[in-house]
Amino acid sequence: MAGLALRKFLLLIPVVFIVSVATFLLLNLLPGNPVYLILGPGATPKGVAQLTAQLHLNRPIYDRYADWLWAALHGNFGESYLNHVASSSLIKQALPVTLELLIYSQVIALAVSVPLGVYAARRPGGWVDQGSSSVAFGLLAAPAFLVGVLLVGLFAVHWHLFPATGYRHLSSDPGGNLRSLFLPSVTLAVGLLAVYLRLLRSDMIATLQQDYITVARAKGLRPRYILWRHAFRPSMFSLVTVIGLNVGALIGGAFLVEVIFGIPGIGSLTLHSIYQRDYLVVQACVLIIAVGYVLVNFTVDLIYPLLDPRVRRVRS
Amino acid sequence: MNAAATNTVPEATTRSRPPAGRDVPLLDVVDLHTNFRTEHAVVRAVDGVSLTLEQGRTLGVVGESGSGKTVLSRSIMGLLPRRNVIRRGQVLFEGDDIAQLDEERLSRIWGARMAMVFQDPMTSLNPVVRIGRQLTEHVRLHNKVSKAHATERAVELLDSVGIPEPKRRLDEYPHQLSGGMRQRVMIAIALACSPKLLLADEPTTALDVTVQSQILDLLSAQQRERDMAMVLVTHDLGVVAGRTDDIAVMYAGKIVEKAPTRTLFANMRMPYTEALIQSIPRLANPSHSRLNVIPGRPPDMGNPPAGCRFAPRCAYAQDRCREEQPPLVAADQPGHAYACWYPVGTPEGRDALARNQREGRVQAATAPAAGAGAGGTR
Amino acid sequence: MSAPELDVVQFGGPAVVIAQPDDPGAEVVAAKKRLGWVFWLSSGWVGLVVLAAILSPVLPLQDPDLPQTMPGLAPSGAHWFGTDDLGRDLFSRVVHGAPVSLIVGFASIGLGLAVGGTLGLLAGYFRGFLDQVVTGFSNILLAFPALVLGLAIVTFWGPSLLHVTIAIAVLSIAPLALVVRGSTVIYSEREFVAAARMLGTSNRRIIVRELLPNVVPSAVSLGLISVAVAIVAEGGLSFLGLSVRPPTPTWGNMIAEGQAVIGQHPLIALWPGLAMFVTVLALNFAGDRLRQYFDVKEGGL
Repeated sequence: MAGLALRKFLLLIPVVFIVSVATFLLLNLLPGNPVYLILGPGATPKGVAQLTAQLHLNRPIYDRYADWLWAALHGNFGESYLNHVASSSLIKQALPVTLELLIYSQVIALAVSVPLGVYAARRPGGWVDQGSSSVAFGLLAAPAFLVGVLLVGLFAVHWHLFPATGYRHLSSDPGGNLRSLFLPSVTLAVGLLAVYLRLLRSDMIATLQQDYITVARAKGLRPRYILWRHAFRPSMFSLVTVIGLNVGALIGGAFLVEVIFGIPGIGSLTLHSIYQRDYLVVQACVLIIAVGYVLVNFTVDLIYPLLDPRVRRVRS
Repeated sequence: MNAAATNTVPEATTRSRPPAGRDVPLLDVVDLHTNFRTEHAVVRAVDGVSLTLEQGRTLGVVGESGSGKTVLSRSIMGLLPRRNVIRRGQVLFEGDDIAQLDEERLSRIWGARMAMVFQDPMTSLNPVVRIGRQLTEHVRLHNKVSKAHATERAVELLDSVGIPEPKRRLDEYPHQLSGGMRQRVMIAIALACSPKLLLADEPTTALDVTVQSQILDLLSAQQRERDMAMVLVTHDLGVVAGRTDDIAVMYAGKIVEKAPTRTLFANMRMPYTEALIQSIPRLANPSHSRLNVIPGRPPDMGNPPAGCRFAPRCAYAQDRCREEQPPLVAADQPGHAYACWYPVGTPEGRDALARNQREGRVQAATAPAAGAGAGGTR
Repeated sequence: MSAPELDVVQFGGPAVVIAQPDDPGAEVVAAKKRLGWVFWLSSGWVGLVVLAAILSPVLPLQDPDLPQTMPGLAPSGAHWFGTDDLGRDLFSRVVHGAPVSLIVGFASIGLGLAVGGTLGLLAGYFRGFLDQVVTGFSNILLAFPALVLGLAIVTFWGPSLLHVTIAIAVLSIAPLALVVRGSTVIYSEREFVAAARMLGTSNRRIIVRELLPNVVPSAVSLGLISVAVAIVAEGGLSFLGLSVRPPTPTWGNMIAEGQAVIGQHPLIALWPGLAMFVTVLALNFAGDRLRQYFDVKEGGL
């Protein structure tokens, strides 16, 4: 088991490396000179030359990458040219907020989809099942930003139940923190819910047809016990995989949600840097997000053997 | 006390509960019907089966695939799907009609007083739950004992079914055990609460031949030790030959012959039984002997033929067989009943067979039971 | 929506299958060969939107960019959807917003399928080194969170219809390639391909004559569902102001405008949102139905 984890971790390093190279190349090889983007129409030849030198844009690409990698490994991601704050500290502030948002939305999504999915599978074709399946299918079509805007309109502006924008820190105001993140998390959870519900339901239905479930019945075990302690566990695997796979889409959704609700997470940071042409910060953010995504997938991969004992041995 | 002989097929009679103190059979199935509703038709998988079983005795139920024997065992237990299944008749277990009970109440009997051993050990155990829990969860539920106590019992059980290093096994998962071992675990699970009745549904079909007889011996030994009644369902007459007190032969949802084991083998009456016995390959036969097979297939139970259901494949069949279904009637020896118009070993039967052979409806002579007969019919 | 649910009872005897309906428009019997009213309704809607988009310059609609009257009016005879916060006719704006979404949606996926689909087809048929390269690259590309990459591309390249389309197209190549490859692999291993090979048919002929007709139907249904995703992606980008520039209306930037006044005039965000939602839903239904239709035919083989 430890051996498996180690092997996967070693595989991780080249992937992260490739991701960093690819990100860097992508952002730096795009047509369009960032200098002009930053300076705008009032660019003077002198200003251009100065900024070009400052951003090292006159050096060959591999040199720039090497410099950048070296600095990155020392925790230096450059600084915002606007306010001269180090990118790394900006990211350090913003990242936990986004993480909390992502976790919160997963919790909400699972808290709703798991019971619904399990009970829908128990009576396929019953009203819980049909109702939830139809709603899920519809929710899949609803874009996150639309849902977010509607939720703001309904729960924040119209009914004043939750704040429309703004964020409270967890340490200073836990209640306010959870309230301020509630609507954004629900927005994200809606899309996740739909996917999880359909998946769990169909997996549970398949599991409930297995022989060992009949055997469990024949032992006199009660239906609820069988449902949760025999059928749920084997049905979780696809769900866990999908949770991992969906993180990418989730990050995109987080961007939109942070903008709509004014949450100072890494999505907001990236976007505002984009609007303000704060090029180095954008680069740092994109890299962190890409690497984080790879790490999450890696973690999900590791969880698998914990859940499914059949996968634990590499060779038996 | 044998499997009860009946003089006629009981129509939808119901047995009332006998007064306390009388000797009551452990299991008394009265005219059980189990029908499945499908798109095209209603499939009559169990079509009027009656049998009884006394405490401590073994009944073998023998039939081909499609005869309804598995559905029968599940019907007796009540372990059927909730939808599109219609069940009629009585199943009197220890005097109570369990066919009337809902699943809530049935679940108190399942595992505790009546247990089942399933066919395929590879799929009958939950792959993500440890063996220990699969052995103890129902014991703790039915007997309300502590985890420690149940675990001790589990170790004893595993030992008694012949599993080495039983303590270690408790923490293992099913995929770490071989097929034979898994089936032993299944048996241990079934025996855990010391049930009065064990239904073994093809317990050895999915196993290697070498392991088969070990498992069957194990079942017989446990049964003797616990004075438990057992219903052994199988398609293989060889399995029941030495191990059962009585045998019921099933074909197309009905019982076509039942008798104490020795009587059945010595004096079978139903041509289907004869054909089954003849199809058992014998070690004494010369190599490359042709295997006797019964040609044809069981009928479509959504649309069964009128008359005797075996008639299309029967060497003795006459016109009456195709028109009228023969009822179960008693034979000379006690406990023996059969359903045939032209039974084996009777003058009518011999004539019928000879007639068919003359008219070329039989390809080669079908020798009577003991020998290695050749060929099949039609 | 999955295929109609099957309740299988199997007891060592005949397997008895009882089909349950779970899906609007699907028939009770499992192997049904009709596309169903849901499919036609959905395709009809999509067709209508496409038509409206194409005809939008010549339709007798009010000018979407000029304020016509008071802002924030409720729907009326003169203005079917009411007016937005600058007094512009909402109905006209929604109709004029359609072309951007549709063009980006269909063009990007068309491009993505052309490139990714071809790569997937070749990788799945020839296997070997080509397959490893394509699969490897695709997996690496999939290691990036899509929106972030799309965002970055569009920002640094400059927002425009073309750039957004290409960005989404590039992002779609990897998943489309992998799916088409998977499908191709399955078909390549079937007997009719082996038979064609044995007859000495050239690879090109096999691909065009044998594989393509089998892979295309599932690619089309995949494509429809992907177009839905692309429309949402473009919507997200234009919501953030990173797609086509205002004053050109797009459903995304209209929703963004509507957000500011969601309390007082919810319809401003609601109309374009509804248009997008229904279109995406229709594409999902149509693609899903198509997939079931072709899957069932598969089962018949």
